[in-house]
Amino acid sequence: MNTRYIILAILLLALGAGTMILPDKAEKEELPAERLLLDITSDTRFKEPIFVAQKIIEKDPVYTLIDVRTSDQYNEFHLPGTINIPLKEFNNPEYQGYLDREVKNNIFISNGSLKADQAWFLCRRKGYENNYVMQGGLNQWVENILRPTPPPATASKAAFEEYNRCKAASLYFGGGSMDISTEVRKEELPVKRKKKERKVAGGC
Amino acid sequence: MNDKSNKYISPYLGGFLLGLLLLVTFFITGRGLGASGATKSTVVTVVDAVSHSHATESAYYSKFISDDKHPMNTWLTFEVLGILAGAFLSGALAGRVRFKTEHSPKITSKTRLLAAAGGGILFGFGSQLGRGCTSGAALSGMATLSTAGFVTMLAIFGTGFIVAYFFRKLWI
Amino acid sequence: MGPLIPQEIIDPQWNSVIALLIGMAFGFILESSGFSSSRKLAGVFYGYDFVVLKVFFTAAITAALGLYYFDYAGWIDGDLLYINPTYLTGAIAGGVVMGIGFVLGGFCPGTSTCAAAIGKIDGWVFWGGMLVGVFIFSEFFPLLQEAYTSNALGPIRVYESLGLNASTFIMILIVVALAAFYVASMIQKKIRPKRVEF
Repeated sequence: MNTRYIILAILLLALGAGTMILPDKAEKEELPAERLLLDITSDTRFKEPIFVAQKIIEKDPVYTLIDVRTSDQYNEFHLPGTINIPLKEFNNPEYQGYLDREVKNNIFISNGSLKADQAWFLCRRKGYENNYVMQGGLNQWVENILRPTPPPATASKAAFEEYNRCKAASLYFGGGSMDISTEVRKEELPVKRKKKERKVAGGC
Repeated sequence: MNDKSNKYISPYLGGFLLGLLLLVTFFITGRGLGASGATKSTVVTVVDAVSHSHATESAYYSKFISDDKHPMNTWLTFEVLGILAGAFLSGALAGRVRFKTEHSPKITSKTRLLAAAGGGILFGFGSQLGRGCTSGAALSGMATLSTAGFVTMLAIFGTGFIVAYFFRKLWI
Repeated sequence: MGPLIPQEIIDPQWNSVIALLIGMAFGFILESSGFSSSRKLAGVFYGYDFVVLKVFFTAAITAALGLYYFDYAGWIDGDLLYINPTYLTGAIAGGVVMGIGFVLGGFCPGTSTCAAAIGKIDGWVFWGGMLVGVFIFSEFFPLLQEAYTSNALGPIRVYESLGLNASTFIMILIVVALAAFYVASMIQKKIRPKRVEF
């Protein structure tokens, strides 16, 4: 017997044993509390309403806007291009595909920041990445986008640019008037996630 | 190992390289290797050329005919063309390329060719029934630990060992 | 990350080029392992040459281990791999027919292609035979359809069929393969001296 073969055989057995020793691959690891705290104290999860407005105008496919209010509230009024997943449904396995998008991003929207932030918190704990919260919620949306107030004449140039952008968005969303409930559009919630369907055809 | 077979690489090295190739193939294309699919494409093409109506009416050929794609234009056809080129390269580098019929000294070339034709017919038939051959169903199937792969592998080699006795005159 | 083409990380239009390159590597490895010689291949059934067993098992284990670790590390999405579906009747009946064909013809499709590439006439004849075989199957397909589609179990994995987990099965496979290699080398030592060279 060649010693080379014995070494190779042992290597093979070790690799095989490795598969047994490795802990089972968890679907998604829950985030440890320290990490979670760090993420909560950071503000990077908040997106300004003007940012959201631009994504709606551009119809940016990278961002999915998820309204986390109840379906009644959603039907009453919602932003165009948003889908509705009520906060209560967030543990429903059917929606996990939407909430855990890996490369795509979600922005959660509620009336204020609170509900959306809770949704974000839940997802973060499940280890889902790339979720964001619309800062200030729909209340701030109305404030910033639909009724933008001009900055004082002494304000910086940047503040004016910001105002102009809001003003432009305001025009798009039919701002100025508060009669926004007329633009309620029925957004169908697309069914299920597509991932498993991309099976490969093949064979010999 | 005698001197003559030393020209070949160690079967373990060959197997390791083949395994790596299989892994790369899965990594790039999401499926394994194959070979018998190309024979199917060829037959479908020929039948389609001879009698298009027969091909479209047949329950089997029609599965592989579509209007926007030539039946020869499949992944496996290109792969098999690659096999031809790669094997020729290897054979040429090792000085093994020449026209000959390899057979046991106890049988004639004619017997060998008849046996090869018979074996080919059986293999062609079996690979369709079993949805793949030794590479497509058995080897790639074993790599993904699919049940089909192991069942096919056991059926091929199990049968081989059982019937080997009856065909021993062809080989030893 | 992987597999690259189903996720469209590589454009599917490169498919044919990649197929050609992979095929070349496949043919090169098979030929240089000795798979272009029908007498070497058939040797596994008579105990004088176990190259098929060694190459086949080593390749399957290397790839299975690789896929396992790749999946574990998240480099390849196991859900996107093509698992050939199990049709029990077809797989067994087809395997039996192929087994007889293997001993009779001394090749399988991939190896006969290699043999044909280096000028083996029996390789070409085997290929011609396969075309006839496929043709016969297709013409008699209506009669065979039931056997072809019965006992469909879907794309199941062998460890699920056996009620094991994947890692246990891989370990068993490795142990069996190593034992088979050892036994094969013993048998070969006994039989080989009697063999004339080829």
